[in-house]
Amino acid sequence: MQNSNKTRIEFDYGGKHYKLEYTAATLKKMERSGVKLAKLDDMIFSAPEILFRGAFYANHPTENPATIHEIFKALKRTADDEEPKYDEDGNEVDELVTALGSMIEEAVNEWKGRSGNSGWKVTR
Amino acid sequence: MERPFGKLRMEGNEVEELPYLPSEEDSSKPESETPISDMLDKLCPYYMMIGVSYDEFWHGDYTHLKYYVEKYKLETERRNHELWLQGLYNYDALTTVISNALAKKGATPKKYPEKPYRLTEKTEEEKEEEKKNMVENFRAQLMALDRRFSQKHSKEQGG
Repeated sequence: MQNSNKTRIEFDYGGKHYKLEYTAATLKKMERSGVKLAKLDDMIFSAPEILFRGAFYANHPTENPATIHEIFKALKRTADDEEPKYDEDGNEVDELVTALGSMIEEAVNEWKGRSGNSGWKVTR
Repeated sequence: MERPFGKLRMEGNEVEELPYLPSEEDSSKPESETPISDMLDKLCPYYMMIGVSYDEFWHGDYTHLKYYVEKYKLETERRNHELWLQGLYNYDALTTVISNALAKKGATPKKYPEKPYRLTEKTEEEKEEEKKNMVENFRAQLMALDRRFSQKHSKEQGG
């Protein structure tokens, strides 16, 4: 039984179950490959797919980049088909990308000893 | 930046913080621009110090870390209590020796506690046993008093 409040993204695609999450090792790997996680807000807008790819490293490290791209497009399309949501400033909210950003933020807060867990779980 | 381990080390009467992440004044870059991997590299040895394994830190569930921090705080608290208790025993030993050395001739010598100080609450049975012993002691004292009184009385009558 898993006893954790960690935020993960879980979904099934092409008959396979995916569990996306970040760990210290995967965030370090992302930064080593040039991703500037310290500027997370910029990353969310400029390169959300890179954040998405990074979330595969922990549980699906050998996943084909082309498949990841395909999944990203499919999940985005699914999200786009739904009623758009807007934040307080009237900007359209991308749920998938927001979830990825929240997952990284949550991890950093936990490492720093802050109670930053949002207590919710994204499941697709 | 909030520090998970808080103040730990005592020096004299001042409490010092263990070295931890560099504060924002120490760093040339503001917190928001510091790479996360730099922060993780600095945090890893500290989490290892409080019992998190290397693998758990890098690959495990970060939501478990707060339990290690809590455990560490409790351990520190317990260790502090043990040291305090040790000080109390040392105090007892020292005062026993000194007061016996300086005591007048014929004075009842001070004894070092025969048993360690009790750290846990007494059980119901122990409380019952203690009450029973107290009653028996009181009864024995009364009987001794009665005996002494009878002896004195019979002596007075005989004499």
